[in-house]
Amino acid sequence: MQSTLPIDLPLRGRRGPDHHLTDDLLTSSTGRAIRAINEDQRQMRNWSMTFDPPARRELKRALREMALECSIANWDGEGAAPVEQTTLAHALRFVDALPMGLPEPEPGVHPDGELSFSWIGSKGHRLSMAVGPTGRITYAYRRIPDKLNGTAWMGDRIPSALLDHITTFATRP
Amino acid sequence: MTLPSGLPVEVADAEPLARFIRQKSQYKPSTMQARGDLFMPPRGASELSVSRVGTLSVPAIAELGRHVVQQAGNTLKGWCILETKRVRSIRKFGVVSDEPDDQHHYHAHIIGFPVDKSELMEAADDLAEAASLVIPVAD
Repeated sequence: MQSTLPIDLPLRGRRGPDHHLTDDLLTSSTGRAIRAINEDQRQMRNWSMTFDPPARRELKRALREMALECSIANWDGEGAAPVEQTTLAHALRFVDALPMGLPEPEPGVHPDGELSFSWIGSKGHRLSMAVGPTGRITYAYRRIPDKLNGTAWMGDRIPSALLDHITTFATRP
Repeated sequence: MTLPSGLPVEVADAEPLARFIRQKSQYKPSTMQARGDLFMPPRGASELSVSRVGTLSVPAIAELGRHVVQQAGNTLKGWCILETKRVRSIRKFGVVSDEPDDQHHYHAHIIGFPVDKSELMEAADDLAEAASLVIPVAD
């Protein structure tokens, strides 16, 4: 039975009984089942023609088309790597994780087989991202005079720093 | 000393350089701005092919572009222009002529791309920012 914490015990910075419950849920058969259902729903939404607004649907269609066109090595005639199915899966997952209401990116393909996204705002304001087969996201952001570049990893959510950059194209294009 | 095309070996600062577009995803159609993807070098390369077009008319640039992209089995979608001086002012980029045979008239390389992917993307965006708007070619 779950114990009750005395009211005078400071909670901040400590793992309370609810954390134990969360840990149990994540590793239990129930937790695994919930995660599997969530993944099924994500995949269903991914291929859905109903849930996505037209711009999002068009973005996914373009990604699938590019991935298919560039699925054979040397697709650019200059030795490019093929786009792998896992790369497409990660890119679609990235699109699914984009909050609605933000500007949709322009999709593309890099010679190393990574799928790319770019947001182009006013002069000197750009964000370029590339998603690879391992879920690695490489990015370069500029809002003159500031420039940043780096690497992040795709999970269930877009890393918050990247999301902040994307949001600037809606708030200060 | 001159090259097979009749151009000097040294690429002058004032020379315009054309980067030919092979995929529509390499620019933003609503604004005709080049994307960084257009300036990503081929896999494993640290240089990018461009063409020296200072002596050519627009129809001649289009003809050269078709010839260039057809060599790699692509269709010309358009091009954008970079000024050599501007390219040389970005990072440590250099511009050198490269005409090894009669199939590569007007050919040059932008050299000095970084190896790290995120730096490479930033460098490609630098060039995209410096480039002119895209001049499209009808399909």
